[in-house]
Amino acid sequence: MRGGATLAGVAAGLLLSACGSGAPPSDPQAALVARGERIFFEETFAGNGRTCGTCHRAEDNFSLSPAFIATLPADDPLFVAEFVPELAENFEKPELMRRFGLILENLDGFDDLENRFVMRGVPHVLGLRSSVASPDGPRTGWSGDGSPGDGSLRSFAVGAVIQHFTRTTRRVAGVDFRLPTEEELDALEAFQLSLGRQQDLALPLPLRDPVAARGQAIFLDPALGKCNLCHVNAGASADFGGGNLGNRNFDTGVEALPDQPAELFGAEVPPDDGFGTPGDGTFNTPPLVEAADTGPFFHDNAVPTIEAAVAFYDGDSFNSSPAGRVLAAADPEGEGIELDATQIAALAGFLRVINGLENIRASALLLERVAGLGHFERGEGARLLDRALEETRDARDVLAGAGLHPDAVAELERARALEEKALCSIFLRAYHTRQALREVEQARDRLALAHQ
Amino acid sequence: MRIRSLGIALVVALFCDASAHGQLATERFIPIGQSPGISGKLSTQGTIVSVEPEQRRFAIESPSGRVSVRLEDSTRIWIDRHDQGQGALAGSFDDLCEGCTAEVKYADPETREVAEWVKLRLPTPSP
Repeated sequence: MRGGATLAGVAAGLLLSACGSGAPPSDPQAALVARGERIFFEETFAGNGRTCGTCHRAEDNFSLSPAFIATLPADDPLFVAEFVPELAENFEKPELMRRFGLILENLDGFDDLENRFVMRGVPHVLGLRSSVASPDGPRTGWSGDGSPGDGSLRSFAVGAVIQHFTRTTRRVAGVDFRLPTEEELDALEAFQLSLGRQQDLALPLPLRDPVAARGQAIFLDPALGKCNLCHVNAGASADFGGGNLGNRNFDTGVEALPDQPAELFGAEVPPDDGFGTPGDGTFNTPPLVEAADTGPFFHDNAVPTIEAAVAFYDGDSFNSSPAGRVLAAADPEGEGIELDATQIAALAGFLRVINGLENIRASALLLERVAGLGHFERGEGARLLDRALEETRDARDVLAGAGLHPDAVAELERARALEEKALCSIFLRAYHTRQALREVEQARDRLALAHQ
Repeated sequence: MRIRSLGIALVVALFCDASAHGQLATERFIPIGQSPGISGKLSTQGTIVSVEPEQRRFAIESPSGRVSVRLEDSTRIWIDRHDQGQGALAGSFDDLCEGCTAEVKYADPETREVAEWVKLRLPTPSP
């Protein structure tokens, strides 16, 4: 009896201790974000089956790459134009979607669906809190005018539902889709703003790799890379010396690039004139912290790698563009951006490292949350571990893609393996999670002397 | 360097974009009273009580009173048929009528003189 009572007591103690601190008390903002997350990934708005998450894939950094598209089953709602007869014409261009990750947009109106459209990539929605604000109002989407109504991030979902969720190309509200309610718009905005970084970096970072450090120096040099003028702290704001201008649009000449992939494919793609109708040729500045692992790049997915994206600014299309000419006019030597191969590689290396650091930051945060969960919070634990796994893989791949920090890559690979063990483990989840967290933190410390 | 920087800022302002604004492409698909961030804040909704073709003006009686608005060539006009389960049609000044329900978004919310767009719901014909 005494032994049985002791055993029961131990078991009770273990049970109580295993419960841990449990989930933190819910607060209204957290509840709003959670509701927004559910809407983002599950709500079809009575349309064609698509959700916001159909194109902004959590597994693909809330973007959509051709490589990811290739993994999807044929009946995924992304491909509605291929199996819904009412959407077979003038809704998408399936071959361009599958090959280049391009989505059809009728930004200049819906009066001539056959001829008036543009093809654009899916921008990620990370770091929005510091990426869309400007003194003139928020700038959303590739041309900075993506939202209907008041142009706010909150209103963006209304335009997206109309453009992408409709059952037919007639787009009748109440028939082909329903519009989001005010409460749903609030929740979606809260969720999107919660994604990724909540503030800009403070460059320069104390990077350990000399190539990445040189890349950072080039980035910050107003006479060499000039990047920091339009991408302050690798974000989406501009500052030309007169103060922060917020998020801006520029005509950087991407449309003038020769040998655009879609054209080489034989597709006839109308020119994209950017902001406004008729357009002024400018496109919105995206943040760069998340750039390296969210390719392809630019509004039309014109180039596949971060190295090619950096090299674009050394080319004729950029330096002949209005933005390029402005930078050259402001240069003491009258020169635009001129970079040699090693400098391009260093710049791209810098962008890969800061992206890796951001992936690691996100992964560590998620792992810490998992480590603090109770034993019986299996569902939440699995969900967070899945996300941590994505971030850890991203960090590993973005560094390995250019042979950067092989030691950190090895640690991230070990972290990945431990996270998968944690996912499968019933009793050792917390243990494996803490081990993974240690590896991730060690990897981080190899990238920068001190972390933000 | 500072003069050059300020010069860059000025040139950027000239060469770069205009002020941010919402896109109008999808507005026609949004029923009267449901334009996000606009309806109830930057627009007026009510019943048209007078139409002056020569001045291209019309007046709306709304819960907050009567407002008179001018239309310009750039003003978009849509006939809202969502209550009939149909899409909006492009309209014209000739479609404005006394008794029509209208929502007007102002080109300038401060002056509230010119309409950027007008959504009309025509009166239901009596049987």
